[in-house]
Amino acid sequence: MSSDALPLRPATSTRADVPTADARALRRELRQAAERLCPPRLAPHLDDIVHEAFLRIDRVAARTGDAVGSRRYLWKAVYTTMIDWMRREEVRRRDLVDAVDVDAIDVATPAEATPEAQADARRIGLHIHACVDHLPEARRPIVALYLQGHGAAEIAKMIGAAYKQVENLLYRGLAQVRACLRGKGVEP
Amino acid sequence: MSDAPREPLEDSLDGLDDATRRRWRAAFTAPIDRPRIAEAPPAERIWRAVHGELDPEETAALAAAMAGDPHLAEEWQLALRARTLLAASDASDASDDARIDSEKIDSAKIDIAKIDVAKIDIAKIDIAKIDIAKIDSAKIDTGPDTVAEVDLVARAATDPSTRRRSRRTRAAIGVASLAALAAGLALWLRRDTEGPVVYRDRPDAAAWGHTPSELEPLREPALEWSAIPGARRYRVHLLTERFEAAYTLDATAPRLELPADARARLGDRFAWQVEALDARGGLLVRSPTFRAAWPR
Repeated sequence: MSSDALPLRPATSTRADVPTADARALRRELRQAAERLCPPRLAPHLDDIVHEAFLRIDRVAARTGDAVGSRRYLWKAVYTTMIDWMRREEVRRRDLVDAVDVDAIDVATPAEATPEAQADARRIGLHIHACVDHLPEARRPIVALYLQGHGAAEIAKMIGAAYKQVENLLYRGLAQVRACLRGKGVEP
Repeated sequence: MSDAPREPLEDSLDGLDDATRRRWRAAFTAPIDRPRIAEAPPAERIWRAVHGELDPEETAALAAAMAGDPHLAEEWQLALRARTLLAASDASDASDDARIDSEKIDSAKIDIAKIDVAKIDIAKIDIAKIDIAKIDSAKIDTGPDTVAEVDLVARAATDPSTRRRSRRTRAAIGVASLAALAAGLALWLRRDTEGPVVYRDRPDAAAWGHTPSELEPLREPALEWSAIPGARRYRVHLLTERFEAAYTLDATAPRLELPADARARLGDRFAWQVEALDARGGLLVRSPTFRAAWPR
């Protein structure tokens, strides 16, 4: 619909009332990325996240005059927007915590996990973090990256260390985590 | 023993069985319902670390911080998931490109709606390999504006009298045909996307689609709109870029001077909507949401 057809239209210059094909394509790409990446607990905010990512890209484009970048750039915009949403949600939840029982707050975990696995992950998650956090400095980042799913070769590349060194530190670090968990009553 | 990277330390080397490894990893990256104590690093930094774009020392420092910060661990995991999905997406595209064998294309099976024109690299099309005679124009639905043109070009190419034309003429027909097809596809897609955009839950939010170059600044700090017969006053809503309502102001004429502090409250770009009201305050008509930028 053109703005001329609108019964109430601006007399001032606001040409942007009709979406362009570029903007629609951008939004479509952002939405596809967001739908695939979105953690379950952010699902109700999906539209807002897409919108915010769109605005971010738009602002950068307006500032730099550059065209919208690669697919990777769009995914990055979606990711950073999601993280900011998660953090804002966390702050809201923290405000809520002051008023209500902490244990009554349900934090969604990945949909693919069974309820038992979710409960288990929540139960031992803090213990694992506590154990990894108490590892010697050299082992700590390596074990953390490994528990994220990175392989030893990739870890070596990421932190600029020799593979053999990473392997040794990892082996010892994991053994230490296992002992630490046992000490906390968590059997691997 | 060589220091060359081997397979990721998995299975036997880490001393964990599959189930334990999965369990530990799930627990390490699980969302957590405890407040964040540590200071959160910028999301972009996490992204760059996961994508190997960060300095090794910085990556190690971030990874070490992740040990004591379950929130950061969850965020890292999300970046890793994005990386995996992105790689799969790129691989899928590459695989699609490699699979195209023009001789095996069955035009009857082509679903025009699924063609992404933006991904077509015209420079890579080898005109010499296109057999115009095999183009079945009847199956090309590009809308009324272009189908006739495509049909004309394709029929010219399949007409026996034209087959005797020189190679040069045939090449020209090929180019014209391709151009018509490309134009047809573009038009068809444009037609497809010009329907109402459903975005967020506000019916007028479609007004937000734009590219930066299209958002021209206001000539003066005032808004004007078309007068509506029977309207006694107009109610103007001013919103921030994120749809946060900032002002609701009334005007008796189809013009509103923007408040002095509006720029500070609204930001450099904002949205506005106007409602025409009758003598009793009843709504006559409501405008879509318009965007605006302040005068330079």
